[in-house]
Amino acid sequence: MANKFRSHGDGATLVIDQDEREVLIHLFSELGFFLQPDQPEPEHTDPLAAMVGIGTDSDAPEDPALARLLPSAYPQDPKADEEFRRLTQEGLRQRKTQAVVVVLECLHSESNRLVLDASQCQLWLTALNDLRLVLGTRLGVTVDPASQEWTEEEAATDQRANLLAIYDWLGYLQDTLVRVLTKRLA
Amino acid sequence: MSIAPAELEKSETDFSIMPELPWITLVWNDPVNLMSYVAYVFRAYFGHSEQEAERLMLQVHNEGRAMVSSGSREEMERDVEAMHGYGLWATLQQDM
Repeated sequence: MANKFRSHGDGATLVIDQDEREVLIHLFSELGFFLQPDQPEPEHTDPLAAMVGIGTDSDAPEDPALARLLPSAYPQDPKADEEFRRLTQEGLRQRKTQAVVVVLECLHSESNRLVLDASQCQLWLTALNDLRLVLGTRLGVTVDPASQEWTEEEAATDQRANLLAIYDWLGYLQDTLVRVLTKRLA
Repeated sequence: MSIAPAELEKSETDFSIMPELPWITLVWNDPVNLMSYVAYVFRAYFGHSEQEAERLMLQVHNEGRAMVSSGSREEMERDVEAMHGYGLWATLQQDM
């Protein structure tokens, strides 16, 4: 738990042990699968549309965790919402998936000290956030993390307790990366 | 009622010449996103000062939502799409 992101050049480093690496590889792989559309997209007839990520992907996700990753821009206007999703959702999925791919590449490096450049840091930042959104939704996190206290009952099952511990750890990791990147803004 | 484009009658309130209402981007509170992260996104994407980013982040946190930008519909759609990329829960609407 003591490991955190540290500033390194214009990027960052993270020292992780084998157990942590395996947990992260497992969770990010799941996130990558989770981000894929249910149905394979029909072949694009318009190469420009394919390139900029305009697709036929215009349905609001039914899964609450996926709905949190691909939220509604127009909650009061289903027609505008569908059009916005048609224009942006496939591209958003692709960018989120690409971030997961880069994170997994970093996690498969040999060293236990991960060295990230500036752009990899940005992708880790958003991918960690997406992973926490999915876990948080699954765990039914409803109150603010600042005042979050899990009750004995909530942590009753081993599996849930494990997930809660991982969720907290991911929040800690992400916060250390935010701090490294925030210093760069000044 | 005719559906053909009719000559608009001039009246006291001619809506056709009223400036279009601006659009706004709202960011909504959620229990997962870290406060430090939300403030970082406001600085990194909108270029806000530390104080302004902190103020907006706290407004989201305490009041449930904050207006983070305003402008044309196209500009607001770009901002909302960017916020969704960061995993923030953003919507757009016409300012009332």
